[in-house]
Amino acid sequence: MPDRGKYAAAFSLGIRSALEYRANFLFSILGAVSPVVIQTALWTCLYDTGSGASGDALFGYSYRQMLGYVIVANLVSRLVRTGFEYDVNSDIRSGGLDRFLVKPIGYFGFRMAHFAGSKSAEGVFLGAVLAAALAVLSAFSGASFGAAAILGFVAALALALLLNFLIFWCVGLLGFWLTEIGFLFEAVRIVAITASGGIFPLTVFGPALGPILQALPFRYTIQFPTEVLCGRVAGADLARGLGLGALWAAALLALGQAIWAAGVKRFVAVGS
Amino acid sequence: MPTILREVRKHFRVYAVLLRMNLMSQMEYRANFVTGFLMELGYLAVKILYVVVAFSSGRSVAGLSPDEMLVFVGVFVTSTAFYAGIYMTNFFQLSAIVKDGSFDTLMTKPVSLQFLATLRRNDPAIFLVDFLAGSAMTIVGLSRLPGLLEAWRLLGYVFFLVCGAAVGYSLYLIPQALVFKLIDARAIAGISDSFWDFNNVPMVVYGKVGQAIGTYAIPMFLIASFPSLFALGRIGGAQLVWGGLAPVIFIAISRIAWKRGLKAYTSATG
Repeated sequence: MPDRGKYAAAFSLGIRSALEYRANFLFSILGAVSPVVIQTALWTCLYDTGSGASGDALFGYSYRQMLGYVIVANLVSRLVRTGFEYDVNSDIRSGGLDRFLVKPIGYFGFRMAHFAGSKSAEGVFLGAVLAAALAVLSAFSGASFGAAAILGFVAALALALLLNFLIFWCVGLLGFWLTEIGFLFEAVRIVAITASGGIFPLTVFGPALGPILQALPFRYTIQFPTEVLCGRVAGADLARGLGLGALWAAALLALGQAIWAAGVKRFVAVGS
Repeated sequence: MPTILREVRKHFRVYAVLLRMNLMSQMEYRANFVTGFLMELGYLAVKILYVVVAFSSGRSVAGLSPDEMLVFVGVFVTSTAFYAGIYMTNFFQLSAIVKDGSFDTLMTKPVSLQFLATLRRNDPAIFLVDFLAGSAMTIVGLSRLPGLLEAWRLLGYVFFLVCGAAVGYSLYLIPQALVFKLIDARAIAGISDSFWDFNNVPMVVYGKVGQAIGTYAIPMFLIASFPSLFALGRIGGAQLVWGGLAPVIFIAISRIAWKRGLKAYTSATG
C-alpha cells in the first residue's frame, strides 16, 4: 500500500471510531453546555451593577465580548480535546506497540492520522453547533463575525489541534517510563485547559501570571482561536500568533521525537 | 429485620476490605498515587480560581462577603471528597466493564451488584486531599464570621453534607442506568460530572428558575449549597425539609432506574 494510502486508511478509521457510538458522541457535545451555563451565570452576576445595565469592562472584556468568549472557548476546548494518549499508554503497557514497530507504518503518523480523522467527524457536528451559537450571539448581542475572522479561525483551529496533539503525544509517551498514568493525563489536562484560557480568559491571572501564560504554547490551543473568531486578534497579530504557534509545534515535535527515540530503546514487548 | 442488619453489616465489612485493597493497589503504583494527588490539587486550584476571579473583579457575588464565599467553596471542596474519592472512578469505569464483559464477574459475587459496581473502587488519597482542604477552608471562613462556629451548627452541616453526597450518588447513577443499553456511555458520566460542576459557584448566582431546577428537578444544589446555607444560617424552612427528604426520594429513584437498566444488559462474553 502506498504511504498516503496507509495514513488515509488510519484517517478513515478515526472517522469510523468517532461515529461508532453515536449516542455517546452526541452526549459528549451536550456535556459542553454546562460549563457555558455556569460561566455565563457567574459573569452575568458579576457584570450586573444593579442598574439593569451590564456594567463596564472586566478583565478587558465587555459583557457581550465575555459571553462570546465563554461560548466559543468552550466549544473549541471540546473540539481540541484529545484522548489518544490512553491508547498510546495502553499500547506501550500491553506490548501492542510491537505490531507497529514491525509493520511498514509509523506509529506517530498512524496516531496523528487517526486523531485527524476522529476530529474531522466531530468538527462537522461541533461546527454546526458553533454556527448556530454564533447566529444566536449575532441576533441577541449584535456581534458580527466576518469572513476574514472565520478564515483566520479555521487556520488557528488547525494549529490548535496540532499543538494539542503534540502536547499529549509527549505526555502519552511517558508511558515508557511510568505505568498506570491515567491520573497524570488528567492532571496535565486540567493545567493545560486552565493555562490555555479554556475556563477563564488569561487576563484574569493579572499582570504577574498572565504574560507568562500568554507566552506558553497552551494559549494557542484555546484562547488564540477563540479571540481570532471574536475579532480581538486580526491582521499582523494573527500572522504573528500563527507563526509563534508554528514554532511551538516544531519544538514539541522535536521533543516528541526525542522522547520516542529514548522510550523505544527501553520498550520490551513480553509475550505479545 | 435481623436479616437486613446482617446484610448491612456484611456490606460494611466488604467495604472495609475494598478500602484496604484500594490503598494497597495505590501503594503498588506509587507514581499513580502521586499523580492522583497532583490531579486533585489541579481541580482544587480551579475551584478556588472561581472565587479568586469573582473577587478580583471587584464586584459583589449576589451580596456574599468574601468569608461567606470561602465557606461555599470550602463546602464544595469537602463534598467533592465524597464524589472523587468514593464513587467517581466506579461510574467512569462502568461503561468499560460492561463493554469488556468483566461486569459478568461482578454479577457472580454474593453481595449487592449495585454496591459492587458503583462503590468497589475508591481513592483514599483523593478523599483526604479534598476533605482536609475543604474542611480547613470551611472552618476558617466560619470562624471569621461572628457567632457561626457552634457545635449544633457543625452537626447539622455534617448531616446536610452526607445528604448531599447521597443525592450526588443518585444523580450519577440515574443516567448511568443507560449504560446497559448504549454500551459506550462515557459521555453520560461526563454529563453527570457536570452536575457536580454547577456547584463551582453558589446557587444564588443562577437566578430563580435555575435555582428551582437545581433544587427540585435535578437537585444538584443540595450537594454543596444546602450544607453551606445551613452552616451560614441562611437556609429556609422549605429547604431544610427538602434537604432531608430528597436523598431518600432520589436514592429510591436511582435504585429503580438501576434495576430497570439492568434488564437491558446482555453479557458481552455470553
